[in-house]
Amino acid sequence: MSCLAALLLGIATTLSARSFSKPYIDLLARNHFSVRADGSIWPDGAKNPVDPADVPYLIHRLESGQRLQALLRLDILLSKSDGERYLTPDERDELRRIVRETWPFFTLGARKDFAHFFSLEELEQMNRDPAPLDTATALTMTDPAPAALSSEDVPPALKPVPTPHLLSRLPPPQAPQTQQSAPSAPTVYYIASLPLAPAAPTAPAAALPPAAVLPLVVPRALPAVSPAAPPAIAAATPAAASPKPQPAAVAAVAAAAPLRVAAPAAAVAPKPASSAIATLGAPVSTSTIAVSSLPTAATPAAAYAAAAEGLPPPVAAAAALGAGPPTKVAETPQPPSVPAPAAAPVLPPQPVAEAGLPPVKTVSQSDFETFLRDAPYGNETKNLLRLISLKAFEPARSRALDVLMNDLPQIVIDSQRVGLDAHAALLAIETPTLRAYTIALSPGPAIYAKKHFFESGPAVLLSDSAKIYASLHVPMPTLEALKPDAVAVKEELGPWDRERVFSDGSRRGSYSPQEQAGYLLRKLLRLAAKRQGWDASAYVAEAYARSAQWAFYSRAISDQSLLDPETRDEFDQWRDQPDEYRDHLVHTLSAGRVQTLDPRKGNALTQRQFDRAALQDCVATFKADLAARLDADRDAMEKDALALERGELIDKDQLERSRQAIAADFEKVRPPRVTPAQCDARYGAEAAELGASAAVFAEMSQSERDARAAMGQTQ
Amino acid sequence: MTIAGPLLFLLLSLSPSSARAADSPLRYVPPSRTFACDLPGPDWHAFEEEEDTGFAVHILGPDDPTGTYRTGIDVRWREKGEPGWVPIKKRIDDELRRKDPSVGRVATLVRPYRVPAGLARVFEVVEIRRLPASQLPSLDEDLHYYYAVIPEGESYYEIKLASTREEYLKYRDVFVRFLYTFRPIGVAGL
Repeated sequence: MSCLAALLLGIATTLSARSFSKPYIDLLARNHFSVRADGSIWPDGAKNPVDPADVPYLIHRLESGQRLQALLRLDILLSKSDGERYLTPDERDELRRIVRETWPFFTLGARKDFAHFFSLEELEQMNRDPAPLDTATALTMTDPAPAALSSEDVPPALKPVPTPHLLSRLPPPQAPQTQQSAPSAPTVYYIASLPLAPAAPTAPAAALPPAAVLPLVVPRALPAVSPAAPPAIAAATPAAASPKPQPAAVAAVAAAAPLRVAAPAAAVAPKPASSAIATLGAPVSTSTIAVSSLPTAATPAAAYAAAAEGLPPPVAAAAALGAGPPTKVAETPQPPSVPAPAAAPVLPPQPVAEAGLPPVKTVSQSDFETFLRDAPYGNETKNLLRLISLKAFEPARSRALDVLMNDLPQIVIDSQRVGLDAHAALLAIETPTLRAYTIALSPGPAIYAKKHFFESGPAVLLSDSAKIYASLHVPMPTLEALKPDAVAVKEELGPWDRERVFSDGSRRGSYSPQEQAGYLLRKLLRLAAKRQGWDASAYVAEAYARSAQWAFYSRAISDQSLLDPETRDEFDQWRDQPDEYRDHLVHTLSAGRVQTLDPRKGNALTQRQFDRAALQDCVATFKADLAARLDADRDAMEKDALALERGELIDKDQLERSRQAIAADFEKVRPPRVTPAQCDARYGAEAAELGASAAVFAEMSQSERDARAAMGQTQ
Repeated sequence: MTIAGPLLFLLLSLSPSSARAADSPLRYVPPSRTFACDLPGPDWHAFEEEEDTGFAVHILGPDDPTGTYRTGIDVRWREKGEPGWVPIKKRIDDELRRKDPSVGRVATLVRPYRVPAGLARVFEVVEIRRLPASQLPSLDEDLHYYYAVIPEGESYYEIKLASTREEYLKYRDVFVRFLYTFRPIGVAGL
C-alpha cells in the first residue's frame, strides 16, 4: 500500500504543471515544448502556454507515444537478433539504451519485463522515477475550456471565426489572470480556408481575444492577454534546442504513434492546402492546442466539423465569422471584433478531384489483429474494435479501420467528455505541430422524470457536463445520477439496459458493448471523412456513417434489447422502412438544435449550386449566410434551455433569464469583414469538394444493398 | 391514441383559394421531372435525392418550436416494376398505416380526396420518438404525418407532410394547398 501511495504521489507530482521532473522536461523538449519557471508549458514559437487543463492530456499522449516508439524500436531490434537470450554485446547495449531512455515512462509491467537487463544498482537508480499509472492522467483530466491565442499566433490559413452553435454552448471562459487593465474579449474560434480581411479597428489589439483553432464541444479558457513569458527552464536542454535526428525507422514509428508532435506535418496532411489540416504542414510558428468536436451527426456539425477539418461548408463559414461564443471572459468595454491577420494571404481554391471518394485500402482481419495486438488501447476498447472488424460491412469497415490504424485516435469511455452528445463524440486537437483525435463514448445516459402526486413528468435524458449548463446560464440539476460519486440504491433492468436507480428517482442507464461499437464505428467514419476530405457536406458524411452503423448492427445484434430505445427505433426503421428512415433523417438532422443539414442548402448537390451561385455576389451571400447562422445558433441554445424547462428541471423564470443571457452573449458578437477574393476562394473550394458527395451516397447505397441481402431482404 | 375524425373532415372540406399559377415564383420541378408543385412559401426549400427505390423530394419548412424536428413535405414516385413497388392497397394498409406499439404508431382511416392530380387516398399517422436521438437533453416528441397517395395507373405518388403533433393543425391548410398545386409531369395545364 505504501508503495502504491508513493507511486500515486509521484505521479501526481509529476503531472503537476508546476513541478515536472527531469524526464518529463526532456520529453516535452523532445516534442517541441518547453517548461517555464512558473510551471507553464509553452509550445515552441507560441505566445501562449498550453492550457493547464490540457496538461494531463498532453502528458498522457507524450508518454504513450514515447512508450510506443520505444517498444517498436525494441521489436525491430529483437526481430533482427537471434533471440533475446542470444543478443550480441552491441545489441544488448542498444536494447539497454532504449529501455533506459524510456524507463521513466514505462509502466510497472514493462519495467518488470526488462529489469533483468540491468543490475540492482542500476535499477535502484532508474527506479527513482516512479512508473506512470495508466489511470493517473485520466483522473486529472478535465474538460478543456475555450482556448485563445493572440492574433499573432494565428496561422495565416486559420481564419478568425466566431463560434458556431456548439461553441456557443460553451461555458464562459475564466477571466484572464493577467493585467487587470488589459481589456478582454470573447473567445474567438478560427476556421480554415476562409481568409479574412483585417477586422474593423473597433477593438485595440490588446483586446483581441486569444483564439482556439478549432471548434470545441467542451470549452477551454485561456488568458485573453498573453502573460509575460517566464524564463524557460527546459529550453536550454540540448534536446529542446535541437532535437536529435532520428533514424528512419524511428521516425516512422513516431509518425505512427498517437502523438504526432514530432512527425513532419506534411507527411500526415493528406488534405488540400486549403484545409486546416493542410495548413499544419506550413511552416507556422504557432503551436496551439484546441479540442474540437466534429459535430456528431447531429450537431451544428457542418460548421464545426468543417471548421475542424478546414473544409468549412458555407454553414461553417457563416457561423465562423459571426457566431461568437457567448462568453463571459471579462467585462468588455465594447463588442469585440474578430481579429484577422493584416496580411492574411488569400488562399486560392484548391483543385479538388471531383471523381469521388478516395480508394479504399482493404484491411484484412489478420492485419488488423496484428495491429490490435500492439495497439495502445485497453482490452475493453480492443474488444469493441475487434467487433467492428468482424461485423462491419465493407467498404465502411476498411475506411474506419484504416483511419484508426493511421491516426490512432484515443478512445475513452467518459460521459463528461461526451458533452451534449448522447452516445459518442469526436474530439480533435489540431495545431501546426500536433494532431490528435479522441473518441469519447458514453457509458450510459442519465434519466430523470419528475414525480408528481399522481404521475411523473416527461422522462428526459441529460448531459452530466457542468459546462454545458453553464453555457446555457442555467443551474446544473442536482440529481444524483449526474454525480460521479453517488451510490445507487438499487440496480434493475429497464429500457436502458441495467439501470442504477438513485434515491432521488434519477437513473443511470448503460449501453451494451455492441451498441457502443456501433457508435464507435460511426465516429471513426466521421473521422475518416474528415481526414480524407469528403465531408464538405456534413449531412452526407453523417448519413454514410449512420448507414454503416445500422448495417453493422444487422450483423452484430442478435437481441434487440442490446440497443437503447432511441437507437433501436432508428435501426428498426432503417431495416424495415428505409424510405421513412431517410425522411426522418432529413427532418431531424435539419432541426434547429441539430443543424447537420442546412435546409437552405439541402443536400450536396443543392449545396454545391448554392456555393456556385454565391460566387455571383459572394460577400453579400456570405453576410446573409452568416446572419442566418447566428440566428440559428442562438435559437438552438435557447431551445436547449427550453428542453430543460419542458423536462421540469428549470422553471419559466430561469428559462427567461437564460434566454436573455444567451441573447446578450450573441449581441456581443461582431463579425469580421471578408474580401471578395477570400469569399470566392472559400465557396469555390467547397463547391469543388462537394463533388465527392455523389460517390459517398453511391457507396452507401451499395453497402446497404449488401447488408439487406445478408439479412435476406430484397427490394 | 386515435385522431379525431372531425379533423380529417375539416381537412377534406378545405379548398384552396386559388389554383396555382404555372409561372408562380414558388413553382418547383425536381431534376427527375417526375412532378411539379408550388412550394408552400419562400422559406420552404426543396432538394431531391436518388434512393434505391427511386427519387425522393424533400421540401423542408419551418423548424419546430422545440428545435427537434423540422416540418417538411416528402414526395416519392412509386413506379410499377421498379424496386420497392408494391400495389397501392398493400402499401397503404400494410406499410404506411401499420401499427407499431414500440413507437406508438397509429393511423386514421383512409378517405378519398379529389385533387387536380387525381383521386388521392388521404389519412393521418402519429408516432412517438425521442428527439434529438443523438443529442441531450432529449424528450419524447409526438410526430404527426399527413399522407396522400395519388395513383397514376398502377404506379402512384406518396406525399407526406411531417411535423410535430403540437404543430400539425397549422399545416393542414398548407398540405391541402400543396395537393392542389401538385401535378404529375405531363398533366394538362402545366
